[in-house]
Amino acid sequence: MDLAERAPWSFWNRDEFYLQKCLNCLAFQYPHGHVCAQCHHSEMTWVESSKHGRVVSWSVVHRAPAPAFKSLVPYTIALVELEENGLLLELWYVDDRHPKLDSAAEPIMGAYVVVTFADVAGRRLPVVVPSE
Amino acid sequence: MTKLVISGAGEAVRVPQLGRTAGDLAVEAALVAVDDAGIDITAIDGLVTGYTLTEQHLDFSSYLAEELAIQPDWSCTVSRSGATGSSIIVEAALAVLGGACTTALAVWADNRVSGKPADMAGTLASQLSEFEVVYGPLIATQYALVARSYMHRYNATPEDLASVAVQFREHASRNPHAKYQKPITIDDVLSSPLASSPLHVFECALVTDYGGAVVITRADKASASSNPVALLGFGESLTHQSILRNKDLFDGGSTGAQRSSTLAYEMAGMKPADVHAAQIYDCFTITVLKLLEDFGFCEPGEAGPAVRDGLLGLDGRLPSNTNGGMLSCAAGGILHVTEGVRQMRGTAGAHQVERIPETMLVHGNGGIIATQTTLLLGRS
Repeated sequence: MDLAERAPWSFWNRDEFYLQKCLNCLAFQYPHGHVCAQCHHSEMTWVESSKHGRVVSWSVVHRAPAPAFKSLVPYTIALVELEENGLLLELWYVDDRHPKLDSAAEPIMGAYVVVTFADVAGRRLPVVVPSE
Repeated sequence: MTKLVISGAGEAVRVPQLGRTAGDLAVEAALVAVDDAGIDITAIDGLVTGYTLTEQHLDFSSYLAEELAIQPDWSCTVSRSGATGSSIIVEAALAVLGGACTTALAVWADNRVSGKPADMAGTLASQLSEFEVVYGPLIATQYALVARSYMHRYNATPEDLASVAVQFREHASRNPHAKYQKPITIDDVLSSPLASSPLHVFECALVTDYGGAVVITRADKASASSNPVALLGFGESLTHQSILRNKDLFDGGSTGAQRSSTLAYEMAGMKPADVHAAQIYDCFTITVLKLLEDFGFCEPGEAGPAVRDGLLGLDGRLPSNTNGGMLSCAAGGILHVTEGVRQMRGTAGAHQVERIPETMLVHGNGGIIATQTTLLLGRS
């Protein structure tokens, strides 16, 4: 399998969120890899994610790590546990109910979120928003 | 098992003046350590170095060997991110135990301020997966995610975390070589700017130039004129590269430090209660709390209150980071090793632990709580 060719970001350009799935034990995997982290099997496929999960942690970044992020701080990065066997995602949390506040969005721990897509520092990326 | 000792330890000027290269700092620390070991540089037949972020060396040990004009039988460069300072001791110990060399010099130096690395944040971010980097996290953000999860699970408070920085600053106030010596309060920490919430700038390790070195050899080969400290045990662990692949960090599980310390305790025939003092990789305040629990010094969730009660003070049950640590003294986990040796010898001066410790745990942590190295030192 050519990982670079089938990397998740090839789906992101179409606003699609796919996960790797092991053909042996059926476990989902993210980030993707050459072998299944559960059973070490190497035949994997891609399936569309439910996109639903919960916030298990979050942090508001106040200092940009790179020039592309200087105009964006502060922004919120959430750690999200997906419905698919509890996979962890790390991505921007955007709360449309509080746009343009001078402080970034602050999710409640355990909040239900859903993956959508947004432009982040010049790239089309999955982000999470509140799911209701 | 063959008994090993650290027979010499050295630091580049303990608050390095700026403008020196990583090579300069490495040479100075190496020569001090060799002199401290009571041997001639030509007795060094093994050399292990850490990596530098600021100078391009495919193998820093080759560069340093040439600078020191030695031709060791065994050499290598180790890159295990923050754990490197302790890992080079393990590599040296393994080389001596395996017979690849008899007297190994372990050196880690970098000039992370003077070297003006073009993109240090980018280099450090290479520890993260592409899936994380595209969202602009700091290294502090990754630790902040661990911190918020920990605080939520155990009802730990911002004050619990801040107390780590306050305690180590108190130690630094007694250390004329520490970068920051003015005592601080919990309020000072919590009113410093946020780096990545809930972690404030005062909860993040300093970025400084540094250089440290130690000599490792068999106990029966140490110079009679040296003041050796025994290396009783060591252990290492690697659990992940991306935190997304290690859920234990977020569901109340342990870090790899439990594994590395268990291996070290087993080798040394010790248990947590036998440890008198510690030097713990304090890249962020949260790291110290997590590690204290995984070493078996505190129950899960109880490290914060224990630190606030003085656990880590010079007169506490487990005096730790006695030079001020990376939060107040200087960057570079190798100084945890040299400070550990200094305390065991009772030569730390104003920041010496009152009752000279007979055992010392030294621990390096790297990546996002990913690489772990535990050393246990004792009287020789």
